[in-house]
Amino acid sequence: MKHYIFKRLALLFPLLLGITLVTFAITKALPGDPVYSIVGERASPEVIEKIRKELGTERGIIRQYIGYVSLLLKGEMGRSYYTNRRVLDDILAKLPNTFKLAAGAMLIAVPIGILLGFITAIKKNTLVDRIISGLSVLGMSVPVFWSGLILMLFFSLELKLLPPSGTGDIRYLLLPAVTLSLPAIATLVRVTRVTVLDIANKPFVRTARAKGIGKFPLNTVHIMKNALIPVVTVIGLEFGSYLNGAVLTETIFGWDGLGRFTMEGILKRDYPVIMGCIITGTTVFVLVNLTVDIVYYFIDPRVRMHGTDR
Amino acid sequence: MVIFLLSLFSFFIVPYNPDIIDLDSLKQPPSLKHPLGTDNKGRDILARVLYGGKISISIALTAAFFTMAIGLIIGLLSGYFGGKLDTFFMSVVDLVLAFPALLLAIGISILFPPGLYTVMVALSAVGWASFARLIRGHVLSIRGALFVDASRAIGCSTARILFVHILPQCVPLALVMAGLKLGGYILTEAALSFLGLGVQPPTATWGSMVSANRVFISSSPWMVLSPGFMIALTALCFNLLGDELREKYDVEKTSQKV
Amino acid sequence: MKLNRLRHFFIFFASFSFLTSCYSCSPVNRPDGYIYLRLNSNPTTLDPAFIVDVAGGNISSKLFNGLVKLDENLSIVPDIAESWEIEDNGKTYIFHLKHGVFFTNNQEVTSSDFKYSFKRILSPQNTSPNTWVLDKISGAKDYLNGRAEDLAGFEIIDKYTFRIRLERPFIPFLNLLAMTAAYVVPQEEVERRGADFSSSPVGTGPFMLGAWKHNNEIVLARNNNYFMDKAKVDGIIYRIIPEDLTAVTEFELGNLDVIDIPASVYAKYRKSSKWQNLIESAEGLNTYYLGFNCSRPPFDNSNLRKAAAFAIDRKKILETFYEKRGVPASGPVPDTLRKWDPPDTYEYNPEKARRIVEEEWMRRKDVEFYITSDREVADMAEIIQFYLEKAGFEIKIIQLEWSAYKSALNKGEADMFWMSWWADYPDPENFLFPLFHSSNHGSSGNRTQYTNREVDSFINKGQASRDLQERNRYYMQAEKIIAKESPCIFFWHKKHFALRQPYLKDYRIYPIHNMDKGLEVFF
Repeated sequence: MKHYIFKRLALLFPLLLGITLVTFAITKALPGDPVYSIVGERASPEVIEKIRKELGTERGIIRQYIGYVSLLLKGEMGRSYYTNRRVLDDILAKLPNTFKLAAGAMLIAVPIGILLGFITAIKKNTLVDRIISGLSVLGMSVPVFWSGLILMLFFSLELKLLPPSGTGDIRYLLLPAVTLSLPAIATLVRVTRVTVLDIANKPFVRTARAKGIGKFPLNTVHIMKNALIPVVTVIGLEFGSYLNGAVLTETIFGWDGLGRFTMEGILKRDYPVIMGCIITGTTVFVLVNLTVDIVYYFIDPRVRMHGTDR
Repeated sequence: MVIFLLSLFSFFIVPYNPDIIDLDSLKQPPSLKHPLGTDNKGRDILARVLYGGKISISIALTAAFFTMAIGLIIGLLSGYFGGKLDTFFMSVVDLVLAFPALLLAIGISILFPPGLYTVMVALSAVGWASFARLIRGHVLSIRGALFVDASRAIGCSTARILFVHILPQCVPLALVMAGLKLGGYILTEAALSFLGLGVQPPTATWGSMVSANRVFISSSPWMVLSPGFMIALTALCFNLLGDELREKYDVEKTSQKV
Repeated sequence: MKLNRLRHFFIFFASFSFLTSCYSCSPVNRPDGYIYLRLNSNPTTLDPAFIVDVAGGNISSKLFNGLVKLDENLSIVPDIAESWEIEDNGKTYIFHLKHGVFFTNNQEVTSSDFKYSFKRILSPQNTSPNTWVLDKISGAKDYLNGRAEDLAGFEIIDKYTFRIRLERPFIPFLNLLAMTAAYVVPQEEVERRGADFSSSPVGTGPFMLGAWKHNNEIVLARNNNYFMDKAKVDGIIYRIIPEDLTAVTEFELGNLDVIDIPASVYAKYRKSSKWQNLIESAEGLNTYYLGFNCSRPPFDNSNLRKAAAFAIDRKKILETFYEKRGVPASGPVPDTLRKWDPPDTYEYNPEKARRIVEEEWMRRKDVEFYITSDREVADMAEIIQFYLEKAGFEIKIIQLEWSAYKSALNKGEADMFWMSWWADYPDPENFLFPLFHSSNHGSSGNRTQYTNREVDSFINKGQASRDLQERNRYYMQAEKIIAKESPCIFFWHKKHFALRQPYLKDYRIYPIHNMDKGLEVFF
């Protein structure tokens, strides 16, 4: 176990190096030049040259990359081309907000999603199943900017219960978190349903049923435990991607998270910001998935058996 | 279900050209002349929804097919063989997943000129990784199962085990995921359009109609409701289709066993 | 089964009560005396040397002052300067500063502060994008290139007096001095804070920066030692809300006191009996235009540009799609600034357009029409495409997001593009020189690559002429040629519309973003 975790952690570094390389290549290949946005509408070619030099974007791309990696090794991420603020500081300020939003959404999505998925599986092909399944598909296909706006119009404008936008305590968090949780709930319902159905047909479940085990312990202990693997995978994926920032939700609710920050960086070609955000996002994502793999070990002995002898 | 989809495709007898602009009839609510109303440039929404459907659905289907194919193969190999192969594939998957999907899509769309095919490629490139990961998890949990050991014992080749015994076990999950993702693909296309990397205007797609007209959600709701409704309906159909396929599959499997 | 269901319900209620636990909380409580405004993006910097965006200019005007400023009639009035003399046929300016103007760190503003601030813009070590504002000063170019140690044209006479010499007479110079880039900054603070000055600025203005939560809100508090009439409100809170509909919701809830009306809800408020009287409007100093690439086929042929102008029914678009949110443009110069008769324009005439296209469009190939990914722009592009295709052109819309779009334009890759120009200062020169002078191709403003020696010389003469009549005559002639040759089709000058809460008094909209010092508004 320890060995495995250690191995995964050791893999993090080459992965990060790969990420920096790929990101760097992509950002540099993006059409558009940050200089034109920095200088505004009226700037002479000399000024543009001068700023290019200052930013170091006129150097060879390999030298730029080496420069960036050595900066990273010093624990620095440089300063934004536009705001001249330290990228690391900005990211550290936004990371807790992003985490709050992602965690809030998952707190809502996981219990509701698993529960509803379970219900649909048990009540397979009944009206309850149809309704919940239908709603979950709807949850998948309603764009976030819609559901967000509708929630906002209803809870803020009509009922005047929650503030429509801003970053702050739980009152501000609720609407975006609920919005963000909707597609996650939908995915979880569907995945739980299908895995539970799959497992319910397995011989061991039939055996258990034949042995006369009550429905409740059968459902919870035998089926649920076995259904957890894909479900945990999905949770890990969703949570990880939320930690990378939820651009649309953050934009609608004016939430100050990493998603908006990254997006603005990309749109303005603010290279240090793009690099910093993606490296942070990737690291977090990989750590979350590592956690998921560790969770596999605890909930499924089969993985444990095969995993340790690698 | 299938019938419904077919009818959707065949329903291309439309009274208006979707790109004709009529500045004398802007933002008209649904009427006899324009059954679903007009948008803020006086274009008939029914016509746009129908034309858009063709494009949106073909984008979503293509992307879903490729994500599923790539995801299944990689997930299968990675989950079954484990070891270095697994480590390598999962690193790549992590790399792809960890990227904000939009940036990856932007990166890809530079390689090709903006347009329909670029959108398909971008969607597939972003989508396959989560598939692969999910399938791998599933394979991990079943590769130790009795029937796999049994087939190995009776001397089945690895390929046979993989594709005849394990693959079918993964298909239901994959189909359901694909069904779920279809609606998502239509929406991601909207996000790409929003960035100017999607299908270029004035071509209509449901996703771009929903995202471009969202600002009118309170003042002229018909502009967004009909394409939004179509996305939901289509997603629902694909899901039910996925479910049905799965059930059919299950039945065959059981009968084989008996 | 029963137990099972009970359990489900329990979990369901637990999660539901988590959702509902905060229903009793009341929405935002706001401090009295502060007015709430909206910004749609986080300003990149509040350091006057680096500001190029509207949000930054808007806020910095409340934190800083320059030598002069614009009054409501768009004429130049004293700010920190008490008075000035213009000598040497417009080549030399002598400024006398007011006594007792203090930065908020309690240091008095003197001549050397101005010299420091100006040199800072031009300094070779600094990368200010705004050098063009001050590079008319004699010796500025040498200093900028590192060939001179000092800014020769700026001479300090005493603590409150200094002299600025220009390379050659430039009439709009006082207008330049009213711009953001010419604000005075305190040397000590700038040097002490270094790069952080951009997020913690110190100035002389009617407000000072209280807090700046990036991407969230900016709080300005009243400066009680302001050297002129103090602001009537205790402070201003700018909330950064990117999404229009969210801002509208916030406004309707009373969490914002003023919003710029987003286009999508303009008609709604116009019709609403509750709000229509609370709409404030002002003519904008801007021009929205369809630009052509005049340096390569097909639009190097001015007849085809004219054909396009004949093909588009601009009046109709303005009245229907655009909901009359602008004033029709007959040339680049907005009517407010034009003191002469407007030039003739090409009226809508689809027949004529079709005929010209038929005769003149030689090597047929799709016209590449570049636009940004903004929604309203995409709408406009589709309408323009519709009209032009009716006339026989074949148009391919290429949508790029802002950075890529700008690079493409600056490199002259587009055949046709949709753009707007917003005034830096209220002078016709600002709509002619950057957009049409051949020395400004590309990034400096002339993105049509338009070149006409006659126009160049008229603009140059206008810039140097001290006589108003004569100057206007030059500008009129330049505009006439431009309107005739049509390197751009001028659509309209967009109006500003803002919606205010009924309890807010004397809120004014200004045509240029840095004119509003936030002094008049009160509750």
